[in-house]
Amino acid sequence: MAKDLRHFIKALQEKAPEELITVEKEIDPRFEASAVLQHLENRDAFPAVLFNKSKNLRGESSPFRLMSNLHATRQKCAIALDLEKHEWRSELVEEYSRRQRNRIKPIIVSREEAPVKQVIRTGKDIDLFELPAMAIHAMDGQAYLNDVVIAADPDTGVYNSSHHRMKIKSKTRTGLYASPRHLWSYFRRAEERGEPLPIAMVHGHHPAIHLAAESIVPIEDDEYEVTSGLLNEPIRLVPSEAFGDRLMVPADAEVVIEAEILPNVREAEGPYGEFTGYYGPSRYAWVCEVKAITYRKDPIWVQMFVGHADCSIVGGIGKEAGTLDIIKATAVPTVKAIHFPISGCCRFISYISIAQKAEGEARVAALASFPPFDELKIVVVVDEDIDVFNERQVLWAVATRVQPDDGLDIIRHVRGGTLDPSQVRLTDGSKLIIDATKPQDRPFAKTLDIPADVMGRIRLEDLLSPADRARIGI
Amino acid sequence: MVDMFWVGCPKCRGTFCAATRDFKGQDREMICPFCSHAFKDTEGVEPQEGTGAGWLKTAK
Repeated sequence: MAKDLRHFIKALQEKAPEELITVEKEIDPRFEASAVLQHLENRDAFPAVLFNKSKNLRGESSPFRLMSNLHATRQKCAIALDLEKHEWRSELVEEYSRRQRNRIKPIIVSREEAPVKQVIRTGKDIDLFELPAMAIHAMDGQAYLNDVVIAADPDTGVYNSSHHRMKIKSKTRTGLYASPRHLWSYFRRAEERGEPLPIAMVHGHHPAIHLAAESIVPIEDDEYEVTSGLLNEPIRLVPSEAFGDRLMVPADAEVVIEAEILPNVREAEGPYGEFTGYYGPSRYAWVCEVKAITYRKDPIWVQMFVGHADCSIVGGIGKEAGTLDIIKATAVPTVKAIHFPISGCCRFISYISIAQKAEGEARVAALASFPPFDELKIVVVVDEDIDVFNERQVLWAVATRVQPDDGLDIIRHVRGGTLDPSQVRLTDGSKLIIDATKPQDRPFAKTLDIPADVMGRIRLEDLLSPADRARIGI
Repeated sequence: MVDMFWVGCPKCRGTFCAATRDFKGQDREMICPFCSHAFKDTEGVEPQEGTGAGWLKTAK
């Protein structure tokens, strides 16, 4: 059986049942679902949530179930890559890296073999308002699509996958906002020829498809092959209804919406609650015309809780793996670990640990990490004794190993993230390097420790009462 | 992020943000996220706290 959303739900139930909850009471996707997720977040709880009964955007009971927060913990992402839930730190980054390099060609299946073709809506039967698409934040106002957008390069046919906000404007029309990356390049080239760009929006599949959409790979690389690598098996594809084999779509998706980005058409789109935790302003953006909607008979509509852990974490893991590989290959082979913390939206800040062998390696590691990913703004480099997944340790290293007049470097007028609220110019930003490694050219203070033989001899289990042990989780 | 400005919808008085380069002084219509009314920046009303869907009153 091919890996799909249901395979992943089963894995969650078996490996981490606490990571999945279900809601039986009917929910309205317009703000009510996000209110549930926000209430959970307010309690520091980030389970995937399956709403077994949902309304559609007309306020009617929907045949679709609704699911969100699928990637809201690294533990869930570890399970998605067939790891155990406790393997969420460097093990997860290294497994992503290994699988991303192991490209696997997709396989093509017939329409009869494709669950996503069980229901097909075309022409006058298309109605986006029949979907349980979420309106998430107050100023979004309306419902948006926000999951994976897949397109084929108009010149080479290579596939890209990426996440985008797409406001539902009518039964068949959406907006689409894209930063200047791969999809932007695809569409600009199609538009110069006066042609629309076919796209497929995938709402509901195995999390690997989302993790691949956030990978750092060159524009020449096929992201269906990356997705297959992350799945550790070929993703099954099937020709789209509207575009045939010009646009292959995932056969095991829950829902696929096929559309064209229209050339030379722009309309107001947004504001939208972005991954940054702030509203991105209304833009004069692309417009899409939907050509077909296909889905399973018992569909689960998956939508990302953008601006929260669900969106941050799924974006960070691919960045960690891609950046680690680049630093290791091109700059500092002794790089140990990397983390894009959730405090930086898993995009803007990275913590890198290295086994520094010579003065200057920390700066080299930091500099190598900027070119592949424009949203990265602040890099903190620490020694290998610091756990980059422990923010308190990282900030302790900054507090005790950095003098600001010597340990900081600012690089001005470098391409930055277009959605960074602090960036005044659209793509022109600046970068900060914090070298929090110990100096190589002089003796440095030793960190504190307890005599090792005593640490080995003294055991809390032997000294504390059962009640006290229970209190501190022993 | 692109430069932005706050604008009030002339129909529902909802307040939202829009990109300056895309709409300010341009002959383009914005769409109010709350009531879908289309209007140009010259038709916008003064942004007011607590209007529209209540963006300033959003529960934490």
